[in-house]
Amino acid sequence: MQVVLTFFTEATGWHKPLPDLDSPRTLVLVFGQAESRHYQAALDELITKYPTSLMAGCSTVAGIFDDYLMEDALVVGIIHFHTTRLTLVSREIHASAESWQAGKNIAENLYAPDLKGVLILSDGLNTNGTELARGLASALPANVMVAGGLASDPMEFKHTWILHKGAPATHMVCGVGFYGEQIYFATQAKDGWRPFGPERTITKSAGNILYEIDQQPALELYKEYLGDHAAGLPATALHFPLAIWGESKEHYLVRTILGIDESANSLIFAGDIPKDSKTQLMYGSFDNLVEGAEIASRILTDKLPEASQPVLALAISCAGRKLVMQEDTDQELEATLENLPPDSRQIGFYSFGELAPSFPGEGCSLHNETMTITVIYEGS
Amino acid sequence: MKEVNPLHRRLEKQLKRTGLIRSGLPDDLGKWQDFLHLVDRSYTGTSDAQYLLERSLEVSSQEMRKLYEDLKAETEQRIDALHKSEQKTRFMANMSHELRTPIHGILGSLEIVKGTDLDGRQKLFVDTAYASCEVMLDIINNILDFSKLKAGGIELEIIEFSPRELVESISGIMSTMAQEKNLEVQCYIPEEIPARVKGDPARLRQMLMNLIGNAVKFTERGEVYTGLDLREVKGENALLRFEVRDTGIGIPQAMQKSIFESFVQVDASINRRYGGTGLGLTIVREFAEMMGGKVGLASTPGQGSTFWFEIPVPIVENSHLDNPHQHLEGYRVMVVDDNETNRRILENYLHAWKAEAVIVSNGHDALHKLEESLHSGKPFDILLLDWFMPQMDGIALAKAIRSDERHNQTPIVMLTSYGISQEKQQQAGVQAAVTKPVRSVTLRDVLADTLRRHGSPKHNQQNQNQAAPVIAKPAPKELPPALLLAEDNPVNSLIAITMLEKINIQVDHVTTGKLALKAIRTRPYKLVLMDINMPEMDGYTATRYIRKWEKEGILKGRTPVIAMTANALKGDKEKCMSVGMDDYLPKPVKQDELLAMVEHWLEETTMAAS
Repeated sequence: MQVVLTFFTEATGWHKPLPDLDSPRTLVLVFGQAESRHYQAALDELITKYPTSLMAGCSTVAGIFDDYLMEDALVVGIIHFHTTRLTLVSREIHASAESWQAGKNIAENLYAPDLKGVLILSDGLNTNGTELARGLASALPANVMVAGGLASDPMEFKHTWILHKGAPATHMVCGVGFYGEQIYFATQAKDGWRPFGPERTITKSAGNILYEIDQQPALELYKEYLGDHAAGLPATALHFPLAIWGESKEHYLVRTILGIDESANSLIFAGDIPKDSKTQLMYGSFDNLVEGAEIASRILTDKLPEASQPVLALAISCAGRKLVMQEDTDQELEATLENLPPDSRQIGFYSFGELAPSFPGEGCSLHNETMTITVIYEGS
Repeated sequence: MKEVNPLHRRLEKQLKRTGLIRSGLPDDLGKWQDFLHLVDRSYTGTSDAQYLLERSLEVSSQEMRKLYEDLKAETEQRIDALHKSEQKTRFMANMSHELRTPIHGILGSLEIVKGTDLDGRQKLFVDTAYASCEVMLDIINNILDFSKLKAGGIELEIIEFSPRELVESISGIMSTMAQEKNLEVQCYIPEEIPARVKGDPARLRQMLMNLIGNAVKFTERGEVYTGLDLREVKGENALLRFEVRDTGIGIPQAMQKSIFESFVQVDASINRRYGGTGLGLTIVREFAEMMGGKVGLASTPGQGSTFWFEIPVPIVENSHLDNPHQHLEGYRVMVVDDNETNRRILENYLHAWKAEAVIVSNGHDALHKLEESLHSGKPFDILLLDWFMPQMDGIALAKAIRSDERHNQTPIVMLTSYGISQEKQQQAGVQAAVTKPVRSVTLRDVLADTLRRHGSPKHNQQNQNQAAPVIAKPAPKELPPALLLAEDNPVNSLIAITMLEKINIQVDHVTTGKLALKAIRTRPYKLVLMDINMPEMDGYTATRYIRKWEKEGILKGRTPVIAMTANALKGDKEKCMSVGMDDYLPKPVKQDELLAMVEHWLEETTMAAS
């Protein structure tokens, strides 16, 4: 497996020249600004350079290039596999209600007995991530790892894109399948947030809107916990997500509050809030979040069959984490990369929702404010 | 120089990230600034987290406090409700008791009138009055029994009786009840029914009355049938089936299962139209189960219902030749009852049964008559004592009688309004008990049964007594220590006496301050429970006298006096103490408090005496 990472900026052009690695076993990954006008030439160049390769990518508030955060650039990764077969499937997605069907459809189209992993990229504004994940999981066996994320923009929630036939397009979801015996594909999600306080029950919710916790108005209770911080709502809510515990009580999903509704006394989330599930409030300082990213990376490294083999890490972290960590966001990229085997590379993006299994053996779930890392390499 | 070793993991990382080392000063201001920036972030993050955790603790403790308060309030409410339901049960029992006393008078008097010469018209009215009274009594009995059932305080009174007579006498009353509705009344008792069996005829009667009462109530035309059937005989035991059948409105299938539950009636409109307490069938079922039997029903709406119960009973006698009226002929019976009506009624019954009746109104007279009977060589065959009498009650009298071994062989039957436990009966040396109001048949059966089991053979007894020299032995002068209760309200006094049953002490009851003073001069008491508001002389005055007499040596020693009063006003206690009382118990009296206080003062007196 050959990996070449580069990036393109309007001012400086290509950071590294594009290598001659075009083949049907080549995957070209592209992560760039939501405003794609200035990158059309670069994209055209990629199409010309890699006519037989698979191209996938999406818009992001910031791309990841090793341990650098690239806000005004097009981050590109050219990955050439020796034995691994690749397939790319795309579907239109016009309303979040279609999410489940789209996920199922993509999974069905990608599935083959030697399918090892799936990378999903989806429209950031028209996708119900929870449903998409459920749709994917419904048609894939548990041993197929699914990783991915929702495209993002500079926190304006106005425009995101998915690369479709080399051009940015809205209302799309695409999936890349990795097949073969040599490919190693492993995903780990870790958030670093700390659940605290009494466990409570979601007593009234609808989709991504939470109305009541323990029969009390959700917003009221939330504000009571936040104390002085409540004055900064909804912006401060990013710092205090909720943990939604799974039935087994072993794993939780992080859910970020995107908005509040004073009149309905409700909280609006970046993911569905199932009624009757248990929930806890969470806190996380900068240190906790970095630690989370570090742990994810360490878990993956510990499981690697060959500890010294360099890998490609596909990092998909949350746009919300970037807001919390501000100018020190690259610290989490440093933390993940430094825990991987020497000479490993890292590419990825900051998303509006991360897709990854929340525990081994689970198909895939939508996460918020979580770092997900997928390690890819071809064994010999 | 203080060396920190090792550094906090986080600090170590922060140094590393900014390219600084622990053992050297920063060579670059930029790195130092970066380092400070990271450390500052950590501090901010930590203090934010701490603030949030404190908030969380605050929220949780507020919730816990509220939860605690709610729980506390709820527990208090529950305890309160429990007290109330206890009081309610007790109140119902007391109420029924109070109602039964006058009904006793009416029934007894009517029975006497029935035995006199009456013309047809008069007879009809007397019969109607008697039947109505029976119905009323049964309702009251139901309420009393129901409240007792709930409190678990019912014991069967097992005696010998004739099932034939039982059903016949009831069907007589039933005819009177059914008369105004023009219902045909039928009763059938086959020949093979045993003449005498053992059981609780009073309860069986009540069960039948409940079923018949319902049958008459819910039947507009047609007939009401009462039957007694011998289902099987196994050795000495018979299984009797009592059945009441009507041609009334019937019971819907869906209701047939729950109809034996408390307060259940077929529907609310039935209650308005027909009235009733909804307790009757529950009591039938409970009693049947207590007797080891079962109940059942078959009904078709619009056509009628058949209610039945089957009870196993031991057979005593299978022949029918016996004339029960002869059982008491020639026996000497002493009756002790403070109530004049009762005395007259009992005397009348005994005369009818050709027994020789000696009637007295209190315990002292009774003891005197007993002594006399030995001297005259005409001992009593059986004694019939009323329990609830002023000064010396039936239990105290029984104990006094049993303390003299010359009277050991004379059986005692106790008349009670409230039932008496087997244990208490045994303690007092009582052989049998009859619950008031007394039905003549029941009383006769109990007396005959007791005589048969515990009495001396009549002729032998007389001969023996004639031959044996009578040694006059003075009656025991020194009465056992007792407790004096001065309380004018009958309900309150009944409650207090019932509560005091727990302590094995004789309780003398008086209703005025004057009577209390009279009592305390006739015998020593260990303790006085004194109501404040009483007619003639109140508790304050009575206590002042007691203390004065004690000072003057008219009374020996010093008897503690405990005030019982509903005036739980401030200053009451002080007033009680100032007149020489020793303690104070506010009403309504709770059993635990009463017993604790009485026990405490009894101990004090015993210690003072020794």
